[in-house]
Amino acid sequence: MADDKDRPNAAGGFTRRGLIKGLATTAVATATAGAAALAEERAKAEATAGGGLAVSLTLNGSPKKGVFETRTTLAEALRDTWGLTGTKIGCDRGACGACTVLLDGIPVNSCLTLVHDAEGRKVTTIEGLGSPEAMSDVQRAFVDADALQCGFCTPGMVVSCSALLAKNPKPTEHDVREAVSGNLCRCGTYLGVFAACASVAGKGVARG
Amino acid sequence: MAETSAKTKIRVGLAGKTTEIEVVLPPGDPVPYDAVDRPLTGKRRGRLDGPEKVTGRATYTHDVNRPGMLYGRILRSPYAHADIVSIDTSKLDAMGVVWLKPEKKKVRYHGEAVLALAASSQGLADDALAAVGVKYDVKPHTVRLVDAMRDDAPLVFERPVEEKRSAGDAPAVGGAVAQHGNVRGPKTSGKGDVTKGFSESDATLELTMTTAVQTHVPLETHSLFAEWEGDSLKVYASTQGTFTVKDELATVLGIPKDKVEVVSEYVGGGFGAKFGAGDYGVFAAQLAKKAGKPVKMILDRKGEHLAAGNRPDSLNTIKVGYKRDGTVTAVKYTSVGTAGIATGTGTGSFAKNAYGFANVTVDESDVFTHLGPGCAMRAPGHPQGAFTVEAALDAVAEACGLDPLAVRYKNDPSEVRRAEWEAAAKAIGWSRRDAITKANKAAAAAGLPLRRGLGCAAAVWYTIVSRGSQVSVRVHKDGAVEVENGVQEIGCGIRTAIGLVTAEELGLPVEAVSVHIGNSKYPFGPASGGSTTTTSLIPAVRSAAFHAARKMAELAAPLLGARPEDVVLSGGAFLANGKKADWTRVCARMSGESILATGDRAPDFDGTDPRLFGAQFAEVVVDVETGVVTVEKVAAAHTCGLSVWKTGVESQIRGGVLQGVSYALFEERVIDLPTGRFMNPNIEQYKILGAKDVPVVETIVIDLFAGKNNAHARGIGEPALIPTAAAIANAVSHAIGNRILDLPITPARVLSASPTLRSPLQAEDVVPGAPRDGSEVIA
Repeated sequence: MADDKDRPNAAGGFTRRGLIKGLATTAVATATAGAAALAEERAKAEATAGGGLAVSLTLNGSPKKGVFETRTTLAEALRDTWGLTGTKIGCDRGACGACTVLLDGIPVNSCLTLVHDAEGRKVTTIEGLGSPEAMSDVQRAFVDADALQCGFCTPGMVVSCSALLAKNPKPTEHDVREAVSGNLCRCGTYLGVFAACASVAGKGVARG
Repeated sequence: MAETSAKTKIRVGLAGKTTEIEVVLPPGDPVPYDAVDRPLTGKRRGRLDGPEKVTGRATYTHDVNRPGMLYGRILRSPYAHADIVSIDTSKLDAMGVVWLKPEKKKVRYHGEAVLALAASSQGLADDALAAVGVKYDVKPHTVRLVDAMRDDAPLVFERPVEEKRSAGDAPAVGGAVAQHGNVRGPKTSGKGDVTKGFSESDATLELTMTTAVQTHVPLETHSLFAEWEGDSLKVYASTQGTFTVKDELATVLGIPKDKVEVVSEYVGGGFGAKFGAGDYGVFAAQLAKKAGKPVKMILDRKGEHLAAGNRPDSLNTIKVGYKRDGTVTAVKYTSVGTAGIATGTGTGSFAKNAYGFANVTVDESDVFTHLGPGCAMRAPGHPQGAFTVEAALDAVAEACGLDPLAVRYKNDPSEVRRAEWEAAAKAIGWSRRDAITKANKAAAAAGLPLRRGLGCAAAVWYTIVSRGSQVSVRVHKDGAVEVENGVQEIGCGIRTAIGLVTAEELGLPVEAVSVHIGNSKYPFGPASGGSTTTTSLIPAVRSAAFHAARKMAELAAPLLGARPEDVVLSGGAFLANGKKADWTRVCARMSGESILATGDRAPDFDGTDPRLFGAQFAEVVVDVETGVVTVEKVAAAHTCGLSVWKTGVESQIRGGVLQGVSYALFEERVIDLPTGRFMNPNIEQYKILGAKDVPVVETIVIDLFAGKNNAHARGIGEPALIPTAAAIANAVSHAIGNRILDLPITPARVLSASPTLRSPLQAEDVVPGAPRDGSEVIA
């Protein structure tokens, strides 16, 4: 996995949504021009004529296609079109982190990422990390440490911690605080989050 | 396990120091728990809905989707005070948008709803808002507390305002009070004889203190999904009151209650702001009716800040008469505050109820301003009151040359609180306080920037029982168990508590019980506000499960050759006469498909002081060159009867403390005075505590056989928050050697309050005209 420090703009989108709204088509064209086949471009152009633009990506390991307005954020596409409502929208402007997903393994705010910016990339949501029947180690540790109360920030927290532990299997508490510094919790579950990460690190297991 | 209605001896008091009292138990109710150590309840474990929440499976109101569903949006006033002259909706028809015919009314705050509409996507709904043309006749506004109190201030209301109560309010709220201009009050209350109290004092001191408006910031904004089937309405609501939403929708829409179903399985936080259906909820139902399609109305974060409630600000004056030994003989307490267009700003309850002060007078006034409505927020009035009263107690200690904790002991008759003070003082290392004071003086003399401080404060809240809760427990022939109540899970863990109590009574593992909550079709459950849920509901859960167990024992008795009353349920089996019958074998003996048992919340019987006590200590480090305060540790000792689920109690305490740290240091609504607009209605500039601000929190849960109900069950949500900001303020005052009088404790305020080093940056935010004299007056 690439170091996210080398890719500060990995999602093409720490830019505010309002600003990028009008520029989206250009941005997508730039992002995909090198990689996309001509036929794919043609398909997109056709879709555009119908009021949207096609996008294809890998979602939780499976190929996924859709046609969206160019202003559609990844968070909206996940929640409203693809039914993956585990990704939450708490502020819709990148301040709370409830919408955190992995884009090519790197945690991003999906409310600040246009769905077309995920073209050809791997998106992993909270649902892709585990299920109630088969929780990941991080998810299990969150339950055991009671690192959640209302649970609304929790998917974003879990995604951020999973990304941290995948990259750094033995994080210090400082590392954990840094990793979830973009995830706000109003119930006050942070101490449980720190404990959950410590417990996963202590087991020497660092799978997402 | 015996059931009784005659006089029964029960134990009450702190664990290890209990005494026996005789009570008449409610007929049919189980005997109260007699041990701290019980098979399932009172222990640490993960929450039952944890797996759903950590995997994204849990469905919140925000997450409800239906094919063809519309997305609701609300157009809000950009002005603090204006008459609406006209509303042009002519462009909406062409956009395929449904909207509710708006009134040409007066708007009284920035963010007040003007028009509601719904469209096939959130984006289209936003476009439609922009296409509505509204002409406003802008009127003069008043948005600052002290300005609004002046006789020449623009009037917010022309007529007297009746106060509405919500389920999260403190008990004293409600009723009619005199109104003059924008000032509603004062409402006077108290106890003893303050004049006599002051005449008995050796000296008096007075402090004037302010607190800022705090917003709730639940991560899930207010939201309601509405769908009609014929004349029946089904809604999903992000609410603290499944049944209060049902009542409100039925009343406002004029439909019978049996036509309204409210579902609220998971709620992304409430903190006091989510009791009713709200204007947004009524709009959703009306839009859904008009459109003939389901409508999901989610407030955006801005709307949430502007219109969905807040903790009012306060300007509090406390005059204390005291003796040289630290005894407080009289307290005169005055609070004014603004909840914008709403009421309920009083902060005097803490002064009356927290300590054993014999003579207290409280005057509380609401001041109307052109701002969004305040509402209940976790322990209404109490963090503000604690901040004020606890500062005064520290000032008394300083004036008398006494240790601050010694002054608490002098004025605190509660045995429970004494245990909390002692435990938490030990946890924080209070005995270091004098050494820290000396070290601070040395640091100041050496020109070093860091100072350390310790501070303490108390919590008081009340056992508020919401009557009428009823629970049903069904045991099926195949052994499955279902427990049902309409109560909502807002994150405090009631789902887990219900499961543990039910399973324990039936001698089963908790995994064997399915807990069904969050639906108004289930039996009535309380709204979750004012630390009422556990104490209102858990005794009814235990009663229902107890009756189910007795019915099961009757089925098992013949197998064991025993009388039903001698059958014990334990370890997934029925035991008597040294014999054992498995759970499933007994269940299979049912003649029908299932047995049903119900339990009611019986009236309270005798027990211990119904107040909820707590004591917290904070340790801070202050950089007097930058003004930055770091909270290193909070030790929090609390008592909530016997814990039903100990992990949940500890999580609630940690959460309350962290909200208190946030309130103490960061949170402040900023209003632009010329325009009356809320300038930081977001969570970038409205700062709340984040991961890097989190101190060590040591929780101490003290077991109390509280009596009153069959589970000794009491709440913890409110008290956990109440003392934190006060303890931090006292710790900062200790560190810098001068009293902190205003929340939040921003760097600018620390610098302006620090006598040892002053920065050119000075706080300007002292309220003009307010007396700031904290000097001691010898009576």
